[in-house]
Amino acid sequence: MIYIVDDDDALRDALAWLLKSRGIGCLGFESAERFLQFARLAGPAAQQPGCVLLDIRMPGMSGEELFSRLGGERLCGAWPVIFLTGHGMVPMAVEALKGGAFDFVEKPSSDNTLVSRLEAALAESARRIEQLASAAALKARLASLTPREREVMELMLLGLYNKVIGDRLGISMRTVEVFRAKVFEKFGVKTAVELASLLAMRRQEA
Amino acid sequence: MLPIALARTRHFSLHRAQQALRRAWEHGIEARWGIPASIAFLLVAAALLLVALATTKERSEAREQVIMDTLLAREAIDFQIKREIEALQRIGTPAGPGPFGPDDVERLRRFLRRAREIQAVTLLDENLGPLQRVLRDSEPDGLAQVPREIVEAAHDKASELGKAAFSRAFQSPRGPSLALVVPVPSAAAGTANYLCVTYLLNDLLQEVIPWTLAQDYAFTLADVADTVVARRQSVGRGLEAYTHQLPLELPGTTLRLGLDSVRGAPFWITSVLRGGIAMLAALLLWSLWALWRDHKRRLAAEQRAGEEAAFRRTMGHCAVIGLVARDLAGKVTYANPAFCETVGYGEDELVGANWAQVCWTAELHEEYRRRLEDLLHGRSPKSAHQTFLLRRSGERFPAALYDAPLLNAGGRQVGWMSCIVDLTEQRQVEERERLQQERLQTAARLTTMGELASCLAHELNQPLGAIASYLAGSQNMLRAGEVDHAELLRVLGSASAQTQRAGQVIRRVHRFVRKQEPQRVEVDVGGLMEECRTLIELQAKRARVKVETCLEPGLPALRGDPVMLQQVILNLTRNAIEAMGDVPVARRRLAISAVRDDGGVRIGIRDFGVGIPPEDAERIFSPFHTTKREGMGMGLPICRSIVETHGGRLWFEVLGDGTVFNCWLGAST
Repeated sequence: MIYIVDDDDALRDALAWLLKSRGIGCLGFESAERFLQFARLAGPAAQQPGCVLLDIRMPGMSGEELFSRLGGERLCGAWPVIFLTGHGMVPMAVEALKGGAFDFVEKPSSDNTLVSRLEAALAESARRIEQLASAAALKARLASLTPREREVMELMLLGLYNKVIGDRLGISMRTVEVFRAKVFEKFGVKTAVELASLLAMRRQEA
Repeated sequence: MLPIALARTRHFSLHRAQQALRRAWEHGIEARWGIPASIAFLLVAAALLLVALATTKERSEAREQVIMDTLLAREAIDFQIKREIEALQRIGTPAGPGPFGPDDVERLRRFLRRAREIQAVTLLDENLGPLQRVLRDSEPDGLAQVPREIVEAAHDKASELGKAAFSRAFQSPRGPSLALVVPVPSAAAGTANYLCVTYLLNDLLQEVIPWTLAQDYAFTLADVADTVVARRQSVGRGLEAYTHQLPLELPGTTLRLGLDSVRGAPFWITSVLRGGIAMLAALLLWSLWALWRDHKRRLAAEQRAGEEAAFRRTMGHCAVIGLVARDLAGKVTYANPAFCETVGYGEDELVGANWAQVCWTAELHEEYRRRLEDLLHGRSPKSAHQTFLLRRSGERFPAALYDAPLLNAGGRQVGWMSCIVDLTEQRQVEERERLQQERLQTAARLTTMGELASCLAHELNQPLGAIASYLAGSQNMLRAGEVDHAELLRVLGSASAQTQRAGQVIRRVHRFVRKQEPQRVEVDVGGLMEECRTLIELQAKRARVKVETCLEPGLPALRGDPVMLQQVILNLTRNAIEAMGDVPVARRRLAISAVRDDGGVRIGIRDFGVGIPPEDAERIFSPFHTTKREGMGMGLPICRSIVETHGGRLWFEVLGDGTVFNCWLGAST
C-alpha cells in the first residue's frame, strides 16, 4: 500500500491511476496533518508493508516536518519514506536522506521509474516488518530467562569456560552446565557461537 | 684688513640704525603723543609761573603802597598836632591876669574852627582844676570834663619835659580822647599857666587824614596795650590783606596807627585765576588723554576692521561657491574668484560692470528682479532661486542663487549679496543617477523575473508530473490489455485539463516577462489581482503564509501600465511575505485588500510580521537601503516611483502586529 501525501489533487489522482495500472493499491492524503492523524490511528495497518510518498513543499506542515514527526513519535517505522521534490531542491532531499528517508524522486519523473522505486520500498518495508518480528521474538526469549540463567549467559558470551563461570558465580561446574543447556534450549540454538550471532543482530538493531 | 673693518663698522652702524628705527616704529604712538603732551605741560607750568609772579609783584607793590600811605598818614597827624601845639602856645596866654578876656576867647574860637579834632581848650588853675573852658562850635558843655588823674598825669609829664605833653588815651562821654596839657606863659612873668586841650581821637582820624588816603583804607589807632581805641572806616572795613602799623610818637605818649587796605584782596582774585588755570590745565590734560585713548581705540578698531576685511576676503577667496555683491543699480562691487572662474571673467572686468547685462538674459533677469522684490517684502521664501546665467562664451548654465540684502553700517539696504552655485555638475550627476536608477530598475525587474521564473518552473512541474503519471498509467493499462474505457476517458480528460493548467501558467509567465513599453490603458483592479494571484500564492506557499484577498465589489478601473502595477503589487507582497519569516507559522497571514477611496482605489498589503523599526522607517524608500541579506534596496523606491508616475501615492503604517503598505491610485475617469 502506497500512502501519497500531496496537496495537489490532480497529482494524487494521476499517481493513483498509475499505481493502479501496476496493480499497487494507494491512499491519498491532501496534507501532512491528515496523514499524521492517520498514522497515529493506523494500529494494525502499520504491520502491513507500505511506503509513504511525501511531497516536500506543502502549505501548513511541510513534508520534512512530517517526516521528523513520524520519527519522533516512532510511527510507521516499517514504512520507508520517499520524498517528492521539485527542481533545484536536491540539497534539501540530501538532508532528508541523511535523516533516514528511503529515497527521493524529482518531479516530474519518469513514472515507471517512480513505480520501480516504490516497489523497492515496499520490499524494504516487508523486510523491516520481518526484522521487527524477529527482534520482538528475541526480546521475548531474553525476557523468559531467569536472573541466574542471564548471568550465566553473559559470562558465556564473554567466552569463559564453565569452570571459570562456576568460580565467578560461586556455583559448581555441574550447575553451570545445567543453566547453559536451559539457555540454549530457550533460544533454540545448539552452540554458543550461534547464540552470540543471534544476540549480535539484536544488539545491532538496538 | 682695513676694508673689512670698515665694512664691519658700516654694517654695525647700519644695524644700530635699523634697531633704532624699529624701536621708533614700535614706540611710534608714544613719540607722536609725547610732543603735544610735553607742550601742554610746559604751557601749564608757564601759566602757573606767570600767575605766581604776577601775584607776588602785585602783592609787594600793594605792600609798599600801604607802608607809604601809613607814613603819609602819620606825617599828616604829626604835623597837625605839632602845628596846633605851637599855635596854642602862641595864642593860649590870656591877655590879662586871670581868665581869658573876650578877645582871647574869640581868638581861641577861631583856632578851634580850624582844628576841628579838638573838643575844648580848658584853662587850668593852680590846683589843676578847670578855670575857664572854651568849646568848639556846637559842642555841648558838660561833656568835656577830663578826669583829674588824667590831667595830673599829663601835667606831671609836661612839667617834667618842660613842654606840652599828652595823657594816655581815655574814654570820655564823646568817645576815645586824649588830653594835652600845654604850658603857656602867663601875664605875670615867671609863672606859667596850663591849658588842657581835649582831642577827640575819632575826629582826629576823620579831620586830619587827607581824603586821598581815606578812600583806600580803614584806619585805626591803638594805645600802648594794642587796644584799638579809635577807627575810621569811611569806605568800609579793611580786608586785612594789606595792613601796616606804625608807632605814632606824640609828646608824652605813643599810639599805633594802623592802615588796612579796602582795595586789597589780590589773594582771592589770584586764587580764582589759579584755580581756573589749574582746571584748564587739567581739562587740557584730560582732553589730551581722551584724545589719545580715542586714538588708541580707533587704531584697535582699524586693526580689527582690517583683520575682518582680510578674513572676509580670504573667506571669499576660499569659497567654492560664487559670491557677488552689487549695488542697487546692479553694478558689481565684489565678485570672488569662484564666481569669476564660473562665468569666465576677470575680477577687474566684473567689478564696476552691470551684472544684469553681463550674466543674465533679459527675461530671466526680469523674473529674478521680481523675485528679489518679493524676497524684500517677505513674499518669497528664502530658498534658492534656480535659473540660468550666462558665461563669457555666451553659454547658459544652470545655477542656484541665494540672495540677501546688503546693508550698510546704518542698516539701510545698499545692494544685494548673492551666493551662486553652479549646478552644471550637479545636473550631470543627477542625470547620471537617473540613468543608473533606470538601469537598476531594469535589473531589479529582471531579478524578480528570475525568481518568479524559478517559482513558475515549480508550478509547471505539478501539472506536468500529473500528466506524466496519467499517461504512464494509461500505457500500463493498455499494455496489459485490460482496459476500462470509461476509466481511461476520465483519466485522459484529467490529463488534458492538466495540460491546460500548464498552458495557463506559461501564458502568465509570458505576459509577465514580455518586454512592454510603459502604456496607459484601463486596468481592472480585480484582473490585476488575478494576474498576480498565482505568483503571490506561489511565494506564499513556499514561505507557508496564508493569503487572504478581499476586494470591494464594483471598484473603478485605473489607468496605467498593468505590468508595472503588477510589479508594484508583487514587490509589496514579496516584502510582506519576507517580513513574516521569523514569526510562528500560525501567525503568517498576508491580507490583500482593495477598497474605493478618495476618487480612486486603495490597495492595502498587510502582513503580520515583525514591523518596521523606527530607524528604518525614515529611509525605507531611499534607494540602496535594505534590511535583507541579499537585497539591493531598490524594490520600494522603484515601487514608489512607479506609483508616483501613475499619479498615486505609496505609504505605510506600522501597526501593533505588523505593517500595512497602502498604494492609492486614481480612477481612470
